[in-house]
Amino acid sequence: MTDSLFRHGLEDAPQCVLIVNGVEHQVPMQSSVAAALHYLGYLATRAHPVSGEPRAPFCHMGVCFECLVSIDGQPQQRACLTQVMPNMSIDQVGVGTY
Amino acid sequence: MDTCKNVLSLSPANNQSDAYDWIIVGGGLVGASIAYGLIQKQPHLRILVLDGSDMDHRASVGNFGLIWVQGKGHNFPAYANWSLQGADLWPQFAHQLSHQSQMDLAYQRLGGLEFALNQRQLNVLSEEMAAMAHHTHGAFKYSVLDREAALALQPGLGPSVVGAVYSPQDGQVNPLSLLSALHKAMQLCGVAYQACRKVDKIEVSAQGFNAAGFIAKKIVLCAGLDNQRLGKQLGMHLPVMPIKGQLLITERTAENTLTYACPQLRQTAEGTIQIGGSHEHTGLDDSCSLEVMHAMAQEAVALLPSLADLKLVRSWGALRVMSPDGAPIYQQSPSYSGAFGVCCHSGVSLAAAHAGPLSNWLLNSLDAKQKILIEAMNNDRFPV
Amino acid sequence: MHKIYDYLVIGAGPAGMAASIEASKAGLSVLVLDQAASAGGQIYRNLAQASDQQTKLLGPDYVAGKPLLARFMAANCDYQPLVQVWHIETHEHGFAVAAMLHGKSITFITSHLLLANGAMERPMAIAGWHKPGVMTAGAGQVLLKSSALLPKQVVLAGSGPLLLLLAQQYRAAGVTIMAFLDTTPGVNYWQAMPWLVAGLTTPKQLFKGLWLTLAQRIKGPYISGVSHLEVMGNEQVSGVRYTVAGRVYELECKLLMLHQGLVAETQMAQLLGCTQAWNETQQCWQTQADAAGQTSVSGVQVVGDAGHIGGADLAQLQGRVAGINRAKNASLTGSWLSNRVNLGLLFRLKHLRWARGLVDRLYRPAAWLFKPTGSTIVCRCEQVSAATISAIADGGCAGVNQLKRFTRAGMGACQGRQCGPNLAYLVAHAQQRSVSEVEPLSVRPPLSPISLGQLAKRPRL
Repeated sequence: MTDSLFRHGLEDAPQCVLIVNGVEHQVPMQSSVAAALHYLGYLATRAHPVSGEPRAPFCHMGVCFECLVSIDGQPQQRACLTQVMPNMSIDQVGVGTY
Repeated sequence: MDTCKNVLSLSPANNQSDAYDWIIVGGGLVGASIAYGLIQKQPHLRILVLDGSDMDHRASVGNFGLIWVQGKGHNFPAYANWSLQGADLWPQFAHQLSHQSQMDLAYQRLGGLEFALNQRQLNVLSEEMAAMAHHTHGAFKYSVLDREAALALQPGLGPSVVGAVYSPQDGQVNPLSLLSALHKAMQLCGVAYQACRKVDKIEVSAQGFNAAGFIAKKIVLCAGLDNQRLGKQLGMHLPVMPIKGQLLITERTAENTLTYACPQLRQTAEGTIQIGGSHEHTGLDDSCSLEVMHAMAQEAVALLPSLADLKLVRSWGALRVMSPDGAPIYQQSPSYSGAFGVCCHSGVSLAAAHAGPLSNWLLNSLDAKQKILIEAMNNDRFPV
Repeated sequence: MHKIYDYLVIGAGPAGMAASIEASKAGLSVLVLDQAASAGGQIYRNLAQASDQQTKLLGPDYVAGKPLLARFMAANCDYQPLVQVWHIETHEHGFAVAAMLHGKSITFITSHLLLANGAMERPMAIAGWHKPGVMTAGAGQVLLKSSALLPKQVVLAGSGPLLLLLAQQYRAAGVTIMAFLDTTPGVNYWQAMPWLVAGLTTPKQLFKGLWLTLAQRIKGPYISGVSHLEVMGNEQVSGVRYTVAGRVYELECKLLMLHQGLVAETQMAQLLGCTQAWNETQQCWQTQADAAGQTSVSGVQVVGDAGHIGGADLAQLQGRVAGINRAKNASLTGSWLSNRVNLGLLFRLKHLRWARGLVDRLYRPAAWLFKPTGSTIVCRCEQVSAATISAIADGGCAGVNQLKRFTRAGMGACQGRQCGPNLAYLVAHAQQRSVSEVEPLSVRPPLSPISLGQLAKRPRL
């Protein structure tokens, strides 16, 4: 996780807690999980199952399947199609799974 | 829609007007195994494989990937012995093909399990195994496992699994790598390959057999379901019908969930899990249906509950090439001695046998015993 | 017992909304299924929730969708957001649509289907496009509309009105556009010139397009005639390498947004067996349909960008015509007046499609984009390179479906959405066939992932 390449465009946007890899963060509430991850500085969402290299969301509309993360214990969810909910828990998967 | 009008031949072949020694009609597992087998035995042969179009029905691409002996020929001794022989030829065949094509086939022979969800199923399976052992004079080995023994081999079985049958002689391979490797190796050895060359009519003349504008003195029909139509043109009765099989394929999983070959569930070398097992009479419709997908998912989760969380990524439907009794048909035309028909639904299991003894049969260079075995599987057994 | 809908609309963008309004007005029972949390499709994404600040940023074309959205929300139809259709098959009463809703699979039955599921970005396979830090212009717009997220600095590369619009929106929001690398080939301007006439018949759109183009050139930095693009970096993007007039330049950056126009999403139509045809101008496979959206399969219509890329106004019009025709077929309308109205709509439809010809020709992707080579990844999901694919294509395989089996390209999670067109180009190129002769990748369920457990629990029909 590094300095984010993104910033939020609205002032005073309501925020909520998002738990990423076990760590609590504050993110804008009206956001997809993928956008929230980018906001926090996570560019890559997962490791590619064949190459092991990091991959990041490409389309943000559900057709590229690069944004797969575990959401509230459910594996392989598309982060770009899921809205952030308070206290949602996101876990990034490592090498070997899809 | 003929979308392949302009496909050029890009394999090391000659132009259209030259004659070939052999034409193989069909570039699936059967055709490719035979072409590969023939060229290994007689490298100077000029062989041409004519293949269909991209969207044609191809049983080869719906294959589960099992090199399966158990149950194959439980009511047909010649087939039982042929299946076992084929499986025993596989290790050497895999080694050679892998080396020639520089491709990994993901071949394994760790044995195969078939699970039973009730006692009746287990009884039927046990009877089939006993018959196989009998037909092969004990060469076929197997065990009938109760639930505890099955769990020892496959942990995590669902509560309704009562047992399984196991044979150490079963194996598995990546069927698409197999097809790709056969294509690559056969072309490297000089076999000519032409896709988008569906054969409508075979003309017979003094020059030989003319198929799609190519001529050869010998012709082998390996065109799956189309063999019936083409067989008639060459005086052969090759009764085959389509039996749909649907497959479900899950995402990859890093966990080593399944070790043994199994017709119900199989874990591929990539880590995806395949679910199979439907047998449907739907004519030429190979589409996937909600009802069958639902039933297959239910059975998969009943067999191994831990699969419930795995995502289904794709499904497939293919048409098995089924003879009336399920055993292969190896036929030499009574009207034309240079014409042969080969039909089977076990293109993977029998690939080594097709590249080996069957190719010898086509070349008429095998011993009497082997000849008798193969010819026991001709169409004399079917009423015309 | 399942309710049997008269009209099941997949997609709540301008086309889907317009069709449902007409059909429900005529008294048909209509169900609209959509993937997003609120209606609007891609163009009017999140319009209902957008703040004044956001709408100001996004521009007048975005706000223009408000009346349609309001009419849709007031219409007498069932609307289900956050749904993912994963299978469609024929059914004794018409069609069965299986969809995931809140983690459960539900089946809907309908006598008639309308596919208004839109388009997606044309996948542009350049070296390094798979690295973190590369995304589509469409992704930029989604982030902006749905999550108000903006890049701090970005390089935009490609060609097309959407890219110009995004540049405008980013400028208005204070985003630093480090460079706009325009890959529109010079020859396009000549080829599009005769079509200027067509463009002049829709003056508002023409001048808007002109303004967007000029704005970018004036505000800069703008580089035209880019004839090659490569992404630099290891674990993520560190820069972009591009060629102009034979010279190679490098530009450091961490975010790159690509765009080469849109292609229709034909998966559902293909699954249903609707005839596809290659559109040479728009360079993609499209479902064949008449002016009312009727496909080769009885009971299935396709409208909007899901059929033919034409933008929001055309999509809305097509949706209206399709909805009216559906009602007509149900014998619920058909008066002399409505037939006159229908003719008027059809004329406008034909006109808008024709006028679109200017944009199609002006922004047709450059030829070099269709020839990825070497280690450039073509299938992202299975990490298959252009070299591997070309080698198999050179061996004379029958087409992309055979190729898929031999390379695994197209077998991953996206099921060929991001690689299908490029596989076809590579096969066509290797075998000296035209792309129109190469059949597209076959489509199988699930169109959206479903777990085995969810599939096992699905209620029986």
